[in-house]
Amino acid sequence: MTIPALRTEALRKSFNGVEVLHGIDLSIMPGETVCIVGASGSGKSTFLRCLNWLSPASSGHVYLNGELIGVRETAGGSVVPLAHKQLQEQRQRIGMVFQSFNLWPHRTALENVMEGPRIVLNQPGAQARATAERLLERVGLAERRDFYPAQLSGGQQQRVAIARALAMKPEVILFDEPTSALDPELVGEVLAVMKELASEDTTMVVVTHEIGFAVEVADRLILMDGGQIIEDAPPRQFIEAPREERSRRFLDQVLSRGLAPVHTIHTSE
Amino acid sequence: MNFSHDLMTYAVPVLTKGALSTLKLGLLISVASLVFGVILSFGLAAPNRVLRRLSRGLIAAMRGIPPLILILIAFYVLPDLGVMLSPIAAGCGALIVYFSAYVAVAVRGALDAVPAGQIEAALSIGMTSRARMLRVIVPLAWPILLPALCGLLIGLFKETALLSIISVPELTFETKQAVARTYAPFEIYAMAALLYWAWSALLETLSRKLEAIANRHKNPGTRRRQGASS
Ligand SMILES: Nc1ncnc2c1ncn2[C@@H]1O[C@H](COP(=O)(O)OP(=O)(O)OP(=O)(O)O)[C@@H](O)[C@H]1O
Ligand SMILES: [Mg+2]
Repeated sequence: MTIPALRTEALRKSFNGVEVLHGIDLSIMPGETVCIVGASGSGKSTFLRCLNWLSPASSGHVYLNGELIGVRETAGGSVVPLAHKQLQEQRQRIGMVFQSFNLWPHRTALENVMEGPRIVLNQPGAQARATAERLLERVGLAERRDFYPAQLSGGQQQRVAIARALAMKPEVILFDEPTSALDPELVGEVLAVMKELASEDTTMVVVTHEIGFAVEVADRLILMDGGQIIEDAPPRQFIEAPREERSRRFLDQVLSRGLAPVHTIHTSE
Repeated sequence: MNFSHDLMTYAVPVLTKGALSTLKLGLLISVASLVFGVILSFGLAAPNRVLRRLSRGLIAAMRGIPPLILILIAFYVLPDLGVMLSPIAAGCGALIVYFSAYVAVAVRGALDAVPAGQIEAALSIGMTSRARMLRVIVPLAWPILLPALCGLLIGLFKETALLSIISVPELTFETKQAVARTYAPFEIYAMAALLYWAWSALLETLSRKLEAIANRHKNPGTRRRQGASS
């Protein structure tokens, strides 16, 4: 039996005494692409940020390939926060792509992608550069490697951000609404890169409002509502025969806006 | 008295000496204020509550008290408490404490202005806190800090004139001496004003150059950097 790439167990999160995640159990197998949808405020971002401990869970556990994230169990059986160094090592293994890209504006595209291998993994400069060049080529931005983020479109910035995450060779990549900040005509180029990653069996957790992408690319589609997982099913089954009334309502709302197709555009620009 | 003769042989060397002394004092106070200001800015965000309160209290006091009063206290009151300081030590000490507070506020403001998202990006690839500081926070805070800092330092140069009140031989003190000796207030004060202005203009130009360097990634222009990767 293979162990899940990522697993949460009774994951709860409170802000100032208000619980926003109410005990989430989820397993994501290696190579799986899981898309999470749900209304604004349902806890999707919070959940994602607990997975790499950017936001420590209030209780419950996260396991990365069987290893407890962010905390450790003492001999006495109690759970204590992990030392910074160990947490940093765990975060190296979990990539994250943000809604607002969050590229470092004072570094070029290439330097943004090199930063992790060079500074965090201590690779020699030449090796880090070669990795970064290869990854920029993979996301179709070889030509733009010496551009600063301010000189790139949103779609290009997000593709650089994906390359930056990939440069760490993470075991799983988390995407928090990677296309929500983009002009509609730029959404396709980012989704195309993600679709390719999914087809190469990258383990991905994607929070998205692009239901068309989710249906086409996800192995499982998850609906979150009020800090809980409401539905967790293969996308076809989710759409055609949701078990929950709330899923049906969500679908009615989303589908009335129409399914946005995933462009299979070339990413060479 | 031969008016123009005295101006040339007495006033010019004296004012030049004063101007150099002002430059030296200004640099000394600037460097010391930067060092203490940065330390104090970390005090402002210290995990320890007592340290935070002390830093905030010191800054509030420095913002509320005129620097002239601080200089007078350092020179005339501290001896009563058993701390005897030379005019230079007392005066510089007072101005250093005064400007450190302003530097601390500027530094804290610039550090806090770094967008959380860029720090989270650094966290998410597993950067150590040291790498986050050196590779992300400082480079992004620097362009925000620079204009405020340059303004402070230019102001600081001018405020060194206050040291004349306790007879520190800097430009204003020497100017007053020269006026008393030559009875040519117009020429001599004009010269002193020009010398102060020259230092400020020099610093202003320098700060603009530094700002242009710090902000070059925001306006990379049409020519792309090619050399870096080929
Ligand atoms: N740092 C925080 N402090 C306090 N409350 C928070 C914080 N972050 C999130 N919340 C609350 O937690 C709940 C879930 O927020 P979250 O951002 O996870 O929702 P979401 O599903 O990602 O929504 P969206 O689609 O708008 O991004 C919301 O009620 C929000 O107000
Ligand atoms: Mg969100």
